[in-house]
Amino acid sequence: MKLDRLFRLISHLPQRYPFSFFIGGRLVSMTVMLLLLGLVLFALMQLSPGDVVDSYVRSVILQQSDYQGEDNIISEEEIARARARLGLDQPFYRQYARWLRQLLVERDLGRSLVSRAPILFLIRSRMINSLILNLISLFFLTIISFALGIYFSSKVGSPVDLGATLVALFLHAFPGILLLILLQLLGALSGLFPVTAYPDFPYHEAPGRFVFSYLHHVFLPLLGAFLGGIGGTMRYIRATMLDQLGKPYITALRARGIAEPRIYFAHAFRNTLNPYITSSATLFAGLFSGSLILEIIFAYPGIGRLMYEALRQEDVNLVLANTMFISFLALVGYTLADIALALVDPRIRYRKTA
Amino acid sequence: MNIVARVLRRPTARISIAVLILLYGTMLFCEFFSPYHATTVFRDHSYHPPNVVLYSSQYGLRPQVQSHALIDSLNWSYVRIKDEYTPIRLLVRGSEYRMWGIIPMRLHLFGTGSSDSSYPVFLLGADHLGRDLFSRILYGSRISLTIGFIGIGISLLIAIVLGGLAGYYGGIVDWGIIRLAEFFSLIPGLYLLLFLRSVLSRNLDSGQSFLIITAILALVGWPGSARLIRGLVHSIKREDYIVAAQLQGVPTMAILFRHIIPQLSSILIVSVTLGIPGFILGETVLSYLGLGIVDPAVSWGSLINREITSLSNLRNFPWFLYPGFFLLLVTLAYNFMGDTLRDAFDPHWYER
Repeated sequence: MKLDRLFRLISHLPQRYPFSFFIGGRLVSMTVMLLLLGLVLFALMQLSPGDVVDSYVRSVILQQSDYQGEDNIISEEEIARARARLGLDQPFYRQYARWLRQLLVERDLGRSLVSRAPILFLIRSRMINSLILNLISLFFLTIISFALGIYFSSKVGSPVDLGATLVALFLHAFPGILLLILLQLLGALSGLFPVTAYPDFPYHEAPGRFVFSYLHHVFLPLLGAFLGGIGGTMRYIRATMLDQLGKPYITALRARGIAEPRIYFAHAFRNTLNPYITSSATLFAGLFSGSLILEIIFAYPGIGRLMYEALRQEDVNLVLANTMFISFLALVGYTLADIALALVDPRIRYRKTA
Repeated sequence: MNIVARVLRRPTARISIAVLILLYGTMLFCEFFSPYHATTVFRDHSYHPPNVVLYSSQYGLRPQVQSHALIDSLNWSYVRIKDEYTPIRLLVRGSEYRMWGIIPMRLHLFGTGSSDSSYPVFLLGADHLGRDLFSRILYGSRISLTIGFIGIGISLLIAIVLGGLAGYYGGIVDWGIIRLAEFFSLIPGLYLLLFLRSVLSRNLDSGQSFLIITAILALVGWPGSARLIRGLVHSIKREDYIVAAQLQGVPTMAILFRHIIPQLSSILIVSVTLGIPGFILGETVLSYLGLGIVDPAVSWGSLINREITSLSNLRNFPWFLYPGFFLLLVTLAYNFMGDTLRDAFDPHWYER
C-alpha cells in the first residue's frame, strides 16, 4: 500500500510542480551528457597516437626530484613503470572513473605540469576573470544593440536605416581575429591604451587603482568584442522588431489608439526579448568559456588563454580538466537560458494544472 | 523576375560576385599570376618593403621596381636607392613551374625577368625569410579558399542525412539525433577544435593536416544546420504531395532525398554561402595559433600567424597585414552575397 502511494506521488510530480520538474529534467539530462562527454574525451585521449600521453609521462618523470637517470634519456621500462603508477596503462573508463573520484571526492586534480599550480585553483581564478570580462561585454552589447535595433526598426526604409544595416552587415562579416589585431595595433600606435588586457599589479595591493587600471586595460578588448557582436545582434533585434510590428495585434493596438511608444516598449519589445534570449543561449554559455582569441591576443588571463597555454605546453591534465569545465559551464549557461526564457516569455508558463 | 536578376540588381551583390570571381580565378592559375613560387627565398631580402613604384624620371609612367639597400641588418631597415629602377614586364619568362602540377611552364603574368641580376619584385613586400608576400598570398588562397567549400560540403552532407532522418521519422530516431547534435554543440566550438587538434598528432604533413582540419571543422559545424533541416523536413512531410507519394509506395529514402530535400535548396544555398566564411575563419584561427597549416605549406591563416604578426613586426613591417585584408575581402563578399541571396529567395521580396 505504502509503495503504491509513493508511486502515485511521483507520477503526479510533473503536474503538481511543472516548473521544478522541468528544471529537474534539464539537470538530469545535463548530468548524463556531461558524464558521457567525459567518457568520450578520455576515449579520444586513449585512441590518439601515443605521443600526447608519452610526452606527458616523460615530463612527469623529468619533474620528479628523485629522478636518477641520465639527462633527458629515459628507458622504456621507466616509461612503462611511470605509466602504471599514473594509471595510464588502464583502459580509459578506469582512468575516467579515477579522474571523477579525484574531482568529486578528493577535490584535487593534481598540479599543472608546467606552472606547478593546483589545476582546480588555476581554473577557478581564470574562470572568474573570463566571467567578469564577458559580463561587462554582454551587458553593453545587449543594451546598445537593443537601443539601436529598436531605433532603426522605427525608421525602417529610410536612408539612415539602410546605412545602418549596411554597416551592421559589414561589422558582422568582419573577421574577428583581424579586428582584434587592428585594435591592438591602434592601441600600440596611438599609445592611448595598453596592449595587454590586465593590470600589472595584483588587486589586493591597491583595490581602487586596480579597478581603474583594469577598466583602462580592458577597454580595447571590450571594444573588439562589442564591434564583433553588435552587427549581428542589432540586425537580429531589428528584424524581430519589424516582424512583431507587422503582426495583427499591433494593428489592433494602434486601432484602439494606444500611444506609439507604449506599443513599442510594452508590446513589441516584450515579444522581441524571447527570441533574443533563445538565440543568445550561446551567449550565456560563452559567458564562462570566454573568448579564446581575444584573451590570447590581448594576453588576458582568462580560461581561453589557460587552455591555449596548456595546449602549447602539452599539459594533458590541464587540457582535459579545462575542456570538461568549459563544457560544464556551457551546459549551465544553456540551462540558465532555458530557465530565463520560461520566466520572461509571457506565452510559456509552467503553472500548476488542476 | 528570376533569382539571378534579383541578385544582380543589388550593387553590393555585383561587387561581391566580381570579387569572388577574381579571387577564385587567380587561385586557379596562381602559379601564373604570382611572380615567384611561394617558397622562393631571396636571401638578404628579409622584411623587404613593397618596392613597386609607378613613376620615375628614368622610365616615365609605368610600373617599375625600385632597388633597396639594406642599411641595418639587425632591424632589417632598408633605404630606397635613388635612380635605380628595373622595369616590370608583362608575360615575362621567370622561374619554372608546373601548372596544376602537370604542364611545365615558365610564363608569369609579371616580373623583372629570371636572371640573377634583376632586382626581385615585391608587390606587397617580403616576409621574414625574404619570400614574396604577394606570391604567398596567391598560393595560400589554394588552401584558404577551398577549405570553406570542402568543409561546408562535409558538414552539410552530415546535416542533410541526419537532419532529414530526424525530421522525417521523428520519435526515437529524432530524439537520438538531436541528442547527438546537442552533444557536439556542447563544448564551445573553438575549444573542441583545440582539443581534437591537440589529441591528433602534431607532426603531420600539410596534406594530412589540411584534411584533419577540414574534418574537425565540419564535425563542429554540422549540428546547427542539422537542426534547421530537421525542422523544415518536419513541416514539409505533412504536405499532401508527400502523403500521396507515401500512399503510392514510393520508397522512404526516395521521398526524403528526391522530394523533400530539394524543397530546401534555397535555404541550403543561403546557409552554404553564409557558412563558408566560418570555415575559412576556422582555419585562420587554427593557423594563427600555430595549430593549423605550418611551413612549408601556406594559407592565409599561416600568413598572419601569431609569431609573424606580432606587434613589433606590424609596427615595423605593416605590409604583413595584407593577408588579413584578403581575408576581409572574402568574408565580406560571401556575407553580402548570402544576405542578398536570402532576400532574393524571400517570397515577400520588395524592391528597394
